[in-house]
Amino acid sequence: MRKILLTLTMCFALIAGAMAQHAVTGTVTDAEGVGIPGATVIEKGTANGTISNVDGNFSLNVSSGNSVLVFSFVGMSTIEEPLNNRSSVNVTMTIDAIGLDEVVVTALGIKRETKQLGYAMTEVSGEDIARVNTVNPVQALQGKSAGVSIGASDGGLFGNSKIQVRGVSVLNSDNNQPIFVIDGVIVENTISNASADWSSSSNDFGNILKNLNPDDYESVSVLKGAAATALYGSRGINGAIVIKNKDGQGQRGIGVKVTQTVGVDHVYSVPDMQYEFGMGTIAGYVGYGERDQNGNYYRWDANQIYLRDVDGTMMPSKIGSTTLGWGPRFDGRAIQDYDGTIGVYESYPNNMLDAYELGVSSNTALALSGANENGSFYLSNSYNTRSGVMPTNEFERNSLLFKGSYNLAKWLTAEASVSFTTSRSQNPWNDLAEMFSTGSWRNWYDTSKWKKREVFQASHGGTPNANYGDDFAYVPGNGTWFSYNLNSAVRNEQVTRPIVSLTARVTDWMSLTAEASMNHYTTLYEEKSLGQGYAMDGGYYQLRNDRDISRTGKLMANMTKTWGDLSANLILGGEIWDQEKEYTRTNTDGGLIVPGKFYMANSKRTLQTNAEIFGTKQINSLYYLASLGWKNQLYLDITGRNDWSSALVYSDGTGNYSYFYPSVSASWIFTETFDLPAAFSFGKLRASWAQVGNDTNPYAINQGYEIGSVELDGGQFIYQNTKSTTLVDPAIKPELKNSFEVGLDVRMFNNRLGLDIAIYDESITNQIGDIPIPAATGYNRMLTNIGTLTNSGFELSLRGTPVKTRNFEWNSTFNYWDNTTMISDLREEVGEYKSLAGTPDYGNYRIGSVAYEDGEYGILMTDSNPLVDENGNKILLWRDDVRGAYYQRNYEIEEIGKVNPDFEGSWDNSFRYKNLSLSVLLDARFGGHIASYSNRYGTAYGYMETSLKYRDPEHGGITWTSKYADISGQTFSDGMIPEGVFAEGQKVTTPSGEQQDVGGMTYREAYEAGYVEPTHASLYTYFNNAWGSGVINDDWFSEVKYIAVRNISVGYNLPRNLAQRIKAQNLYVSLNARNIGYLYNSLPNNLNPESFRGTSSSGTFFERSFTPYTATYTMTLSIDF
Amino acid sequence: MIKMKTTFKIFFALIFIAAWGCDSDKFAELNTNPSTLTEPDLRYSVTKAIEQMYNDFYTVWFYNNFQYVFPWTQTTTTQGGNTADFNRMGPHGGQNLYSALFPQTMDVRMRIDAMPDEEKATYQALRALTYPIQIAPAMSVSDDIGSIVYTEAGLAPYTNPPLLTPVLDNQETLYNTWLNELDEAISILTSAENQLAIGNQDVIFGGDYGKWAKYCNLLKLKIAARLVNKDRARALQIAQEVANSPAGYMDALGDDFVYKRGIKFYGSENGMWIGYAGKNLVDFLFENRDPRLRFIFEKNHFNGEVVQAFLDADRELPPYVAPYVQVDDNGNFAGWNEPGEPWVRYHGAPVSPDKTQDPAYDRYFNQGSYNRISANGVEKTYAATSLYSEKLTRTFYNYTYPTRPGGRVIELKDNDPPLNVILGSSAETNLYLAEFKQLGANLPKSAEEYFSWGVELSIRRADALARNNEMPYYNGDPVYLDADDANAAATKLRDDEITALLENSVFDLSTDPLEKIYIQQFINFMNTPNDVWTTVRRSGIPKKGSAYLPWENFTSSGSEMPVPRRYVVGTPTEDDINYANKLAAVQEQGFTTGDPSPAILNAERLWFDKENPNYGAGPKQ
Repeated sequence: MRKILLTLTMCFALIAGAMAQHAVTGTVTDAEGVGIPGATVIEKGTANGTISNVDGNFSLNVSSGNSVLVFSFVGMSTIEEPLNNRSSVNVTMTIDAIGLDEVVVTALGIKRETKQLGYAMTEVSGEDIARVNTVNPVQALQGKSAGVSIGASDGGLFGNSKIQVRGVSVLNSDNNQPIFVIDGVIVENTISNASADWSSSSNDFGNILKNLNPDDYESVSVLKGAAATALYGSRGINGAIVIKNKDGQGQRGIGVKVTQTVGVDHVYSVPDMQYEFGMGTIAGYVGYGERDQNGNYYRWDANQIYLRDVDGTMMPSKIGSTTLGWGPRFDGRAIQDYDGTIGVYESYPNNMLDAYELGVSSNTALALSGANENGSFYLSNSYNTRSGVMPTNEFERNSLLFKGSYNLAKWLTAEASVSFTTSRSQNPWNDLAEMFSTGSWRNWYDTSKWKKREVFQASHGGTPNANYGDDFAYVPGNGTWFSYNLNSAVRNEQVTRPIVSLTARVTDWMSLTAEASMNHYTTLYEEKSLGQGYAMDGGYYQLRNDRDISRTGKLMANMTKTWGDLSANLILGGEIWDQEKEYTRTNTDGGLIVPGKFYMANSKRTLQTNAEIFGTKQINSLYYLASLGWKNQLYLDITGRNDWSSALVYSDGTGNYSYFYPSVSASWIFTETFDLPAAFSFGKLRASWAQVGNDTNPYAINQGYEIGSVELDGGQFIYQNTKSTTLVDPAIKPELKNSFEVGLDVRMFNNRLGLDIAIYDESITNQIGDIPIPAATGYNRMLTNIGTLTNSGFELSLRGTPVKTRNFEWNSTFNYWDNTTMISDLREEVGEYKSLAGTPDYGNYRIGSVAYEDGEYGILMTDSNPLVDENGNKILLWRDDVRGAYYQRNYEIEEIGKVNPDFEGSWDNSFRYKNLSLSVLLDARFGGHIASYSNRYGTAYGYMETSLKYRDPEHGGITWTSKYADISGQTFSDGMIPEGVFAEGQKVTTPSGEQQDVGGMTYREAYEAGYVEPTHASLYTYFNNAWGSGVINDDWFSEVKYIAVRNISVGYNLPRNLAQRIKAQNLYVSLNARNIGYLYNSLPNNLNPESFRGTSSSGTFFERSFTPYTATYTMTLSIDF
Repeated sequence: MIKMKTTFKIFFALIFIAAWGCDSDKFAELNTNPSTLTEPDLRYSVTKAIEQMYNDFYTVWFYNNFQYVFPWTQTTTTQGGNTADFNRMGPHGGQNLYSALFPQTMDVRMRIDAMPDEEKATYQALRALTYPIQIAPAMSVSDDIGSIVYTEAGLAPYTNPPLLTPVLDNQETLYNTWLNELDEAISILTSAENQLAIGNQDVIFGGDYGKWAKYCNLLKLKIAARLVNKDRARALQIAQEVANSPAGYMDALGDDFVYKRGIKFYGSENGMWIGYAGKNLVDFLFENRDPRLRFIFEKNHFNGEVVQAFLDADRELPPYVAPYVQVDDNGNFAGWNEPGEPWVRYHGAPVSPDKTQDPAYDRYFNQGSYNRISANGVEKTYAATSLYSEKLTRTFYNYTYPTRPGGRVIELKDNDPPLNVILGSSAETNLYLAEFKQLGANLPKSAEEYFSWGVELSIRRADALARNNEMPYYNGDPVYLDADDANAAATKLRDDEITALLENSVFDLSTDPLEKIYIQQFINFMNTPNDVWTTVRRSGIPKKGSAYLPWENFTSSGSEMPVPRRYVVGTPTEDDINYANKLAAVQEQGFTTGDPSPAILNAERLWFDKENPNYGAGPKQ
């Protein structure tokens, strides 16, 4: 808009010039004496004016020598300079300390002064995003804005990160992430959501965002509330991240910018495994090792090690050993290794770190830009290549962007841009760590020795197998290295995004813009798996093409008028958006005929293939935005939008598919109205009320029969019809978000201290959603309007400049935010609660997130709390056969936690000394829970540090000599006394062989009475965490609290004279370190607190595959010519 | 500059766009999935319904059969031998009746009922098929958990307001309902005229409605079998109805319900955890030279070549293998003692958890240490015991024949056959009739006639399944280089084997007839395992101390272990709209919910099981 206004002004200037009488020339410079291009120079009280050229020079004919010139430029203090008959006027503009005229990019790409906005938003500079060197721009926003919750997932190099703005708006979707809007084109920010229960690897290829190029960003605006996003309609219901790419405007002549970045990803830490004890089964189950005088095994002795006949003598062996980690302490005795050689009984404490590689990245960006009176252009190319910390995990991206604008006539400007990106993402598997925590690699597995190709690939080409007499057949997990190193899953993506627009200045107060844009997103997925059978028997090949095209056509009228103190702006717009998705997929079946040759004709069986056009949708919209301003102190915005969405039309043409939603927002700069003490530099109160409507997924409300065919012997076919089991409400209404927000922005002491707070309350009614229905009814689910979500929260941003001298400056920003999403008005059919993710009474976790009336979104429920008596004592389950006790599940579904945090925060400090700058960003999350698969099973199986408790006296174990007749006199030192009481009527067989009722006694009482002996640590720990008997406990279900050192960066602007030696304008070097560590982490076993599975809004409490701690170090050199 | 009028043109254009773009018919088309249909062909719907009769097969095999039913009935152990936890159940599968099967059958019925009379009349047989299609899988679910939703199942789409809280029917209601429905179906299937021909869309019987009627009669017998200790008179009455039914009953291999799903269905892609064959069962089959031993279990690894390798390595052969090995003067393998291949390749393991940990049984449970030999720098381990044949559950995996260390690689792979599964047979029918005759039902043939014909059919069906599913060794043992040896080691059914088998005393019903009949039912059901458990529960066989097939006591640390007689029934949760009905059902049955404690699952029996004998107690007369 600024552009349009400036151009308009220029037009006026040209017209006015013909009748002016006094010529003035001059130069506008900044404090360093550099010319400012594009500064507005206006003869006060008239519409006569011009803008400075690329060197800051201007010339203007004014009506008289007594005129006053008004110089203004974005971000600079406006200067009024009386002419006093001079013909040459040079001014030096200074940066506006108060930031009153701060201009930001808002919805629809409209640039507005912050002071006019009636809602909260944050703008981040493009450089800030580019500097941190992440593939996914979401990660780079972490800690940058209050109200924006970002957490890394287990997605890896190019996987997704979870972003949520002000909570959850849609109950039926796991995708509650904001949209990304790139130069006005909306791209979907899809989630990753592999099942934590069923899929060990998140296999996360990320989404379209990885194809965005941060080098091109000029600014990134975070639009939070409904008032800010109302103009984006349905798709902006979860907020919007509006990215404006650079253009050539304001460039003097031709500018060249070269940036080179190199970086490494380094795994510096992994969760805490135990490396003290080797393999052995649970006490009471030992059926190997030495034997007593009666020929029986030492059934309860954790010091027994599996013995095997090696060349005629029985000796410890890793081959055939139990896989649980409850064995004897590592003591360096001789043991047969997996390859049959005799090695040492010891652990390899770095074996998990050894599994990872050093990731390396490089980014080369070149940008050319230029501008003159007739137009401007920007042309850039970035090439990014990087490898991950997992073997063969790679990413490559090339992004090309061209933007140009040209004034076709005085009243007509054409703009066009096209962005073309290709990327290649390879092998996103991330289950390496799980091999250590719950898989087949024990603490005695020597990773660096066994991860070699000569080990994991047998001479015949497949994995080593004892059936074929291969070497290394007993080395565990060969298949994992085989797949990581020899298989490939590659996604080649291509995004083309052309945008063209034509702006006509119809009158001096109105312009019209027609714009058409497209986002053309294709992926080619290619998967090659080598067979792991004998001579590489097996194998698999798949090709899949996906195409997702969305198109937008817009017409917009923009009208501006000023009446005295009142200024008004009205935008009227109409928009048609449509989308179509399709895919085709073909894969081999039954293995490959010739191993290792990847093409379709090589399939053993008939190829499997499928193709579909789906997801066709169209939304038509009309909208308006009216902005009123009065005396630079009161501003009012009124918007309205009507959407017509095809997704709400039933097959018979009916449906509530047209919906209108308005918004009002106001801003009052009270420091302009009242005479406040000088300490108050600026103060603004803002308030907004807004509605946003929302539809649902295409086809969701139209269900039909599926058809299928079955091939019989002899080439015959039969056919099948399958009935849908969804009950669709015939009168579904669109969802409606009602949002109310108030905020305060106060700046004091010449802007040295600033406070911005926002309080909001938004309710999203008529949630379109599924209600699961017991399948026995004939329906599996009902689709209808099911309830209301309400988000309320508080956001605080405190900014200060504690020190500011000529050479040194310290800026500090502290953000705090919290949000609570509540559920209400649930349909009666929902029952007590609606399941969102996971299952409270099934699976590895037995935890599900749910929504219930008047409860928070994402409450966690389980049926696996320990059973307690009326006094709250845990009831023990006694096992007579193995002589120990552990807890019992109560099998009552109960609340135990929640998905979402209580509050989050960030603290950004930046220091500048002359040309050197340093910034440190911390961010924190407090609250919400994590259910860790690794900690649960890793503890049960004796692999994690949490499994050490009570194992020996050093870890709190009790030493005693048993009195049970069959093992009388045997001494153990892994005893513990479980906290809890025996159930009423519990009978135990005492060491003396009697039956004794210990009902109601605590274990300690029974122990002291001699009825029981201590429980062996392994028995207690195993069964309290095992699949079939485990209970919720602190070892694996934990509240997440952390303070992360997110980013440290050091930048240095080389002195100008140095730069000029290589004919450069500017030389900048920076070092950036990201994800360096945690100042505080509440999780046991040093579990990574940002290792949630996927990025869904309801399921990010599961942890499945350990995510190693990976720091990214980046060095950037950028040169401007 | 453009004239002001242009502004209005633009507004006009905007309004035009909105109007043009919002044509609801265009939107309706856009919002209708191009990959769906609005009207089904009911023949196709029935095809889908039949397919849904064998569902959840991975979890049913992995959990129900291999972790629970087989170990609890002493058919096999759990993988690696039973431990002290083998009686504690975890998750289980359950046929997934409702999400796909009932919507199909109910839709077929309701659409037919809504047809004009003339058309409706021709669809009656098709409609009648929906009853056996529903009842068979529903019965196997009820066998595990008792009360289920049936009479009000799948009605929501046809009721207004939709019936979202269907009652759970107890087993008494279920059996009564099913008997009525089956009688009605039999009558329609045998008498209706001018019926729509379904032809090959019926992948089971090729559109022969008469065979479906016979299958209905088998389902009636299954219900009778479950009533045998509950209401014996009624059970016998049902048996008489079936034996005299004008529809006839399943009495030939061609009548069998062989489930298939086209040539690309191989069962589960995922492997199973399979335990050792139960020793008592293997010994019983072995002693009688029952060919089904070879169709149910897989050979061990000790062929002549492997035995020779053991001799070469000077390693002791497993004590249960050694007695069958002939060694020549040079100490080389010279052949097998009687009965020779293939019989000598089958050995079971004890099932009691205490034995798994007892060093005395190391040759069963620590085979990895004992049966391992090296030659030419290559080490290999061999299994001396037999596993349940995985090919009965899934056909899509490679089998590697055992050879000496560093020996040839011989694999059974590629061209995997489509899986055949037996869901009801003439063998089963005849064995039930033998039982009922023995219990006093007035049936036309003698118990012996039903019995021996039932056994013969059972063997022939097992042979046919082994052949179809391409069980390893079926046509020969490729490890033997000598063609005669290879043929002799084939597991296929030989001529006269059945005649010889029936000579054995365990087929002579003059003594312990009921036990002998139940044992044969038990063995017959190895290919239809959901009935194994029901048979063991209702008959008390294998019987403790039996002279034929004895029950082995399950002990852990010397104490006898309780073994479940039903599955865990989940605690009804309040998020379930049908909470009240589910709660009522568990209360009516007197169940503790959610708790997998074996003692509870042993004591709190299902309705049909209440009067049944305890495990190992033998049949009630």
